[in-house]
Amino acid sequence: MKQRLIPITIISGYLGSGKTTFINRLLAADVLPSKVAVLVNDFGDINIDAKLIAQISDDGSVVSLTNGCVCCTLQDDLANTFERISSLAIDHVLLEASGVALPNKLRTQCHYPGYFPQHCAVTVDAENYHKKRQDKYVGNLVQQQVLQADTLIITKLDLAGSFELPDSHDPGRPNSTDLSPAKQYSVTDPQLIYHLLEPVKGLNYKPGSSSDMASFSSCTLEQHKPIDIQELSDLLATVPAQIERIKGFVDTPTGLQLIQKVGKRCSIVPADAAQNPGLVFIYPSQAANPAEVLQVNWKPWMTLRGNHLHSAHHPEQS
Amino acid sequence: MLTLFTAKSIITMNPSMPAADAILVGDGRIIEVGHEDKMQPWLDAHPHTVDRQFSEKVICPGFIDPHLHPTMAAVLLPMEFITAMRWKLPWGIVEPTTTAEQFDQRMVALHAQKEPDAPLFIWGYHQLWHGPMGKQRINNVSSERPMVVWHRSFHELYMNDAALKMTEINEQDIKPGAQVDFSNGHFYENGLGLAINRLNPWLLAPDKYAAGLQRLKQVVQHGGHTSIGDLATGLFDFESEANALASILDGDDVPFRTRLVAHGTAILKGSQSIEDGPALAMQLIERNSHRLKFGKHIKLFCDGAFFSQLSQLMEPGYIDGHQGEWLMPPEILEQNMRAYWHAGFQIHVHACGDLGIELTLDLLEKMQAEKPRFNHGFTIEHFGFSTPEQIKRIKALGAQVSANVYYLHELSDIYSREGIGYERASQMSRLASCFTNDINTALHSDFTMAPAEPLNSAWVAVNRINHAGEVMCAQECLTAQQALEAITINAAHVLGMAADTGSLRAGKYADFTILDEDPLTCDAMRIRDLRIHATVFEGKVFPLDS
Ligand SMILES: [Zn+2]
Ligand SMILES: [Zn+2]
Repeated sequence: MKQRLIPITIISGYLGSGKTTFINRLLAADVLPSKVAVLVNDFGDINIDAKLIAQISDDGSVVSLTNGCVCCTLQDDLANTFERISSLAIDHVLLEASGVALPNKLRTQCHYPGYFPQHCAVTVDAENYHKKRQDKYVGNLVQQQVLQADTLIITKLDLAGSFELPDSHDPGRPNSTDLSPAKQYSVTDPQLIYHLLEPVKGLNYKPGSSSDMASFSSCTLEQHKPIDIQELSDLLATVPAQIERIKGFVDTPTGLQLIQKVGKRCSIVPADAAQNPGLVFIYPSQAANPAEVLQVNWKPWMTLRGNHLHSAHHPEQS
Repeated sequence: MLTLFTAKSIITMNPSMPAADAILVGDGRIIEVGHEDKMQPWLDAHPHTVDRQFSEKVICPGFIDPHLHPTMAAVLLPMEFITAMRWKLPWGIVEPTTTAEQFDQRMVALHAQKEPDAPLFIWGYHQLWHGPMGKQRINNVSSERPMVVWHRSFHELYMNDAALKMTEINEQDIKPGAQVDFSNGHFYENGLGLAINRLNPWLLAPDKYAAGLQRLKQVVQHGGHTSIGDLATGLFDFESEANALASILDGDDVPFRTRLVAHGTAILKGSQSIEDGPALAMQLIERNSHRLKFGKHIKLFCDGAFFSQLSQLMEPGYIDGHQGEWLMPPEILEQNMRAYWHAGFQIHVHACGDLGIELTLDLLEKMQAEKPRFNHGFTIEHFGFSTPEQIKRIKALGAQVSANVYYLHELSDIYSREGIGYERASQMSRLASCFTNDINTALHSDFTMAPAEPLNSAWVAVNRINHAGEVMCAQECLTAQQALEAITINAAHVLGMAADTGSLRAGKYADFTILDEDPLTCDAMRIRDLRIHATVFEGKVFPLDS
């Protein structure tokens, strides 16, 4: 059986742009699904709530959290750290990059056996970015980081009011023709973490081939009748265990809802645009196909698309 | 008991008495330098012997390499060398191998000599001379014996099938984008991490590492050194390195002393902050032994390596438009610098390109404004490409230079064509300007980046001849006198050892390098070929048999 590759979400961005604050926020809010390994440069600036700590390794470099996540320092080089955490039960890595690293270089480093770079987000300090990008020493670096990102996490919007990338970042610019514009999220956006744990479609990262990615499959339910929100959230909580992610739109008596579920974390928020209601369930290809169970449980409101039990194969995990 | 050594001539590097012909030694220290007939009062007052074994030789102050890396050397030295440049090693001279055909012949010969089954590690391959490398090419030498061919830059390597099998690297482990070409056995840049991880049992096993350090000991002695600087203790792993160094580089058989300069970020563990650094670095001094000494020194890092074209350059940058790298964010470098500057440390900053040097000088200027210091010994390490204006700033700020002049020899030809263009490539290592501006300037090897042969570094600095045979910027040539200062007294200043060694005068350690000929008067093109007859460390003679 093909061993599953562990996806890595890279959090890059220049020093002071809010990477650590963002990671502290994730840890404090306890919003990470279980079995995520968070790799940080050092624990110096990381606040892990003592209540969340289950165990600390002998050398103090690995902290296990009560929700099943681990937090790990990157004291060695990346390759050593990947070897070190490969024995832990994790399904996702969140990697805090050094402030001077470039996303493209990080992506190549994340192609370590057993892992693959799934998503690279770059934090951008809305207040200071425009000054930084003209800095004599790091101006070019911070611009490159932004150009090479899949997603931009805009921080300190409260101080800056608003943020817009300068024109020079236009993807139409001659030497960035192969880049698509990165999607921008405010650091306070509750959807951000779900987005970050998802693979990127059609953005900067171009996989060499489908074998590059973990092999995932999905099945899709189409909705034919509105469902009560309480009922919906109960059903979402009891889907078969092999399902790792659920996303889509569901029609309820109070309007269309956007659903995103990663691991045990689930969000149901009003959708802002009209969409065809339906849900996609994603599970590892080697796991049992959950379609039959889903079809039975959701029958009053939804039906399996194409009415077949044969799942679509998703080499690019989306 | 005193010992009087006589010599054909003695080069003292003491400007008040530059030459002499006798030197009196007691208890490892120099009692008097000068002429035999003037030393009678000492000889009358103390029992002594007269040692005339160097009476046809030239005595120089013991050579000092103020920047090399014993740990990296310990990994490299057990390997076989096949190199485009000549390397003089204690166990033999490695003659240049400059064609693909010769490279293959050498591989075959090494394979035939090596005991069966043992893996064969080869270092020094470079495509410009040796043609395209690949798994099949190595398999042709042997598909049974694990063989690894390492690129001269260390940034890539090739394995044959047997080596891939030995390291259990499988094709399905390798993902596109991983900078590994499995079918060709090629691991490069970031893909190298995987290869090194899997090769570590053969490279860093304690016995291998110890054997490598033993070889380093020989290399240092054969280069004529009596003092060296380990300019980043903790490069791989602080404790294991410090322990291995302590067990192998101290003892009566070791003919040199080592200044250990801790790697500024490697000494911090867990949640320790940069501001904890100076106190931790001070604690290291408690470990000092006779030959191995930490001091109030620290090593910090600015921009990327000169060999890999990752140095930070000011406009117009690199010909192909790529950018250099910062090894730490400038703000973090500043924070480190501030902590050590205010704590009174001598700071050594790895800075290679003119933008890296500019940042380093900007930060030093800031520190000087916060807390003015004199004799602070702040050192720019490597000093690949600088501007004339920066020379003035270095002087004004009281800093010094420790340069890897070998860049000019090995890289100036190729960098003039595929790097930075002729003007700047020819002006690497702007050393005569440093001397003209009275900046204390030393030469180092950064071994294993350049041969650990001070006379070779001096030869490059004096002649400025690149490997293609072209003189690059004759205006920056040093005189032989300056070059010898740069590998003795000036290097001692860089390591904070000038009160004890680096020149020959009453009171200093009796550290000598004994040559057959006078490097100040010989044909400048022969400086690197001068035979080193022996070294003397703290009065004890260590002959060299080669
Ligand atoms: Zn360096
Ligand atoms: Zn170095």
